[in-house]
Amino acid sequence: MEFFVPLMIGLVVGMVVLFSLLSQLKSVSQKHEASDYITPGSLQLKERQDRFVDKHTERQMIRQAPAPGGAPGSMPSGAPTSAHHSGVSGHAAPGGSILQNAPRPQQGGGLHIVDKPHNGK
Amino acid sequence: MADLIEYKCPSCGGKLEFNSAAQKMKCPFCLSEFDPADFLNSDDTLSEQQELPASPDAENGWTPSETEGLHVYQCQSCGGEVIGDETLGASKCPYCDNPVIMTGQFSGGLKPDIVIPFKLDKEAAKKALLQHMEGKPLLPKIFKSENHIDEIKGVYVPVWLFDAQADAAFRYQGKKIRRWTDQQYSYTETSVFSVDRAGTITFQNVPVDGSGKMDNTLMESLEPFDCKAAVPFQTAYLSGYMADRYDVDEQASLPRATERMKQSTRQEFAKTVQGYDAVNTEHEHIELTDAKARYALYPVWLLNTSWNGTKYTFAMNGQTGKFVGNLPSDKGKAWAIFFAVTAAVTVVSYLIGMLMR
Repeated sequence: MEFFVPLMIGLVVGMVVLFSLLSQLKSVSQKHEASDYITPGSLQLKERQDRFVDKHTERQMIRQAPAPGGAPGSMPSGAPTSAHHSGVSGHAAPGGSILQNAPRPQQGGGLHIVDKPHNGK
Repeated sequence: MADLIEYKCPSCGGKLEFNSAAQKMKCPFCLSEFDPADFLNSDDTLSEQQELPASPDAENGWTPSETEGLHVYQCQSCGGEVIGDETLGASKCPYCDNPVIMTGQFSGGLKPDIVIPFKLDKEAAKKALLQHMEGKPLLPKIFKSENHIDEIKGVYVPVWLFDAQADAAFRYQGKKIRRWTDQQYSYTETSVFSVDRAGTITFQNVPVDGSGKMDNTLMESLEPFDCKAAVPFQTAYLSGYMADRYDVDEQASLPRATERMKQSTRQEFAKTVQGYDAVNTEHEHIELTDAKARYALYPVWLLNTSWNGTKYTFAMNGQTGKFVGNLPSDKGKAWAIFFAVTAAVTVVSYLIGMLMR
């Protein structure tokens, strides 16, 4: 078993090297785009809007390592979590902000906090 | 009926060919050089549609199915018959090796708008093939030594060049994700944005191969060609090279150009959506307007080699020297390298793991 991980690493590196060397032999391929033929500076944006729509928060209980002897405060794995909701609606606030290039969440936008069950891993 | 043009040296009467190094018409006998523009009057008849010559006669031993799509020209130097298929536009007389140009293939509506003259010669193509085979460990060594060039030819390939403006509108969903933890919980806050972009972008000279004989993927691999170096079409540039007229028309070529322009439009608009951790396209509308097509001839060196009974085709951009062509691989060597690398990395990883314990 202790040899399994090194073997996997070896196989992955071997494949990467092999495909890299094989790709050197292939130089004929279809072009999917026409970026070489864009007139420089021709991109003109008539509309550029970034509207805040929604915000939601998920929280997940952190699994704490049980203290030796089952010390108080330790959280058993897979403990039930409680849902907590905060904020108003899940939709954009009326007249949501129109932002240029550097969008930021609008204060007062919808906020959900949803507890995510611990996966127990 | 004017069906063939041959360019003769005004000094000695020898055959004139377009010389890529000098970018002039050159006589190989007396070494005189002439500007292609000096021969403009040879193309006076191209504005009118010319009829192509008749198919070979059945009397000469040809069956009707064999002669379908073939045309017979008569070499003006030696009188020999030059037989070409229905798209052949320039070639050499098989008897006297004089360059001949079939003017009927480039007259009237078949006249190209522009041509990019060859900048690189046959020797450059041969050198490029050797360089193409260098530094490739998986290329069978025997391929380099045993393969021989069966054929090398400079071909003017017919190409449609499309100009268009893309009017586009996109709606994306952008997400900004923030994570933090406290003593009990880890939090993931996702802010969702609706991102709209609309505008225009312009494309110029998007090429689509207009020859049914030429592999489209091979032509696309040779891109880009620089259309700034293109000149108005003149048959003089074809002298000494092969040339074909188009057999795939602009309407049939347009979908390929459209597909490529749309993909680039998507990419360019997506680049304007910044500052998000994840972006999904929810809606797109792309319309190409003001589409125009021009007919051009692009210079390509084609090299055919054979090895182990398989034919390999290589091509070089006759303007930039970009060389493409798939090469065979040595499967035994590939497995040997794979196992050697795998074994070496496995052992090293194992030892590192042992040391770290």
